[in-house]
Amino acid sequence: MQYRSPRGLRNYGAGGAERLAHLADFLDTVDPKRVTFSFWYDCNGGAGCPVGIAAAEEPWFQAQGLTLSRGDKLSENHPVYDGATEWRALTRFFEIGIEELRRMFDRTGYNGNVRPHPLEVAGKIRSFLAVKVEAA
Amino acid sequence: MLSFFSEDLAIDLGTANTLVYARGRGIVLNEPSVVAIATVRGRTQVLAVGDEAKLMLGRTPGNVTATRPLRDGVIADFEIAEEMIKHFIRRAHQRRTIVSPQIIISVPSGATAVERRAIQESADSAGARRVFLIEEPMAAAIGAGLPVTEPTGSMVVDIGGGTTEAAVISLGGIVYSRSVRVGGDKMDEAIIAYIRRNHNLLVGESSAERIKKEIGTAYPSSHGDGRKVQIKGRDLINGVPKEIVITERQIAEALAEPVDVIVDTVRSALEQTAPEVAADIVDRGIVLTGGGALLRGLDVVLRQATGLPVAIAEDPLICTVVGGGRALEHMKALRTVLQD
Repeated sequence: MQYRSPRGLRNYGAGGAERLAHLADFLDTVDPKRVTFSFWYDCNGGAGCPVGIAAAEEPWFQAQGLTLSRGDKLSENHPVYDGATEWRALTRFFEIGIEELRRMFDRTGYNGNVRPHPLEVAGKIRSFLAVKVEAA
Repeated sequence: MLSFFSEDLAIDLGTANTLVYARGRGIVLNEPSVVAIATVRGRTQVLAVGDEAKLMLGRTPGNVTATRPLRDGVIADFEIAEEMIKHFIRRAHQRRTIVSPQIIISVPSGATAVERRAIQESADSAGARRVFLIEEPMAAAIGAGLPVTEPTGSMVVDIGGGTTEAAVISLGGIVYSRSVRVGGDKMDEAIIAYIRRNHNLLVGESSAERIKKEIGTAYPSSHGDGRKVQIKGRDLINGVPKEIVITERQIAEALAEPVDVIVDTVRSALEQTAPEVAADIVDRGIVLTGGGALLRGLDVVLRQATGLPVAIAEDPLICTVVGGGRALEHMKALRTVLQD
């Protein structure tokens, strides 16, 4: 399935769960070679963390206010949302805690693997959302 | 005739370090390619160059900047680079002879005509009598003792601070070369980015370089986390200084991307090599030069990726300048490898 950004849709402020669901759908289309937890986003080649790739490339996420701060160096690229940067930006954007974020977007959630398959990350996001819905 | 009276120089103008070889004396200078500049009443003055300037990196007051004039192997700031070249030539030459020196400068094989011209003009204005350029992989191959003028193919992979050059050399010429702007600096950047993302800790370039040298590896051990090192930086959450422990395995993860680029570059160069030359490389293998060759396990990774023997040159850090020096000493025999 080819992921399509809903460019035509009117921008609106989605909730954290909807944003995570969108990220999971987006990950279904990402080339596995691009996903790494080693850094946020590499402007030369476009490898990076799923959230970094979404912030840099996907208009839907950008319309939600998630953007990528770009620098001359690899280490200067990071996600920005609502005046916060990096992990703090993600806690605000997805409206979840840092521990839950790390389980989905950090090597510690994948037995130390920094290059998980994007479908594995998408699966983890969907499991997290399912548990959240059940709990609700 | 003039060359008899002058003390000619070979310069390896690197992104990280500049080395100078003086004919008859060997390597006379090896210092970081860093310049510290002060702006006083709108005018810029060079405060320090080399070792002294490197100590100032990241620690300068508002009106002083310590900068690297080379980026990705080529001159990024022409004026500052010129000042640096002049300074190093003066230091190495010390007016030992009254005749201006002939200078050989190594350039990345991927440098554009404009970049080559910029380097040549910098040396011209620094007082050179004549300036020759030599392609870095050629100089590195000569310095590593490869038989560059013989009718046999040799492959050299020169991993510098700013660029990695994979070249196949035969009969005094480069048969094929591929240059990518990935080297030791990109490895340092990858370490900074990794620690920043995974530990919320901001570390400086010098700390990243130290970590790379102490526990950096391209091929982590199959069991355990390997060696550990303590690092200090600024916590990005609360802004205060913090110390953490990082492992060899984590640094291998951080370096995976730049190492992959190097492996792809070598593979791509091999794919483009003519069958006869490729057969020579199967017999002789690949020789690694440059500071990046000292990254632990890189030879193992390349051996596994290519199936070819891979050797690290005896003293990889000085191969390029020694190669330039040999070209100076044997100008007649090696004239074909130089460009006016």
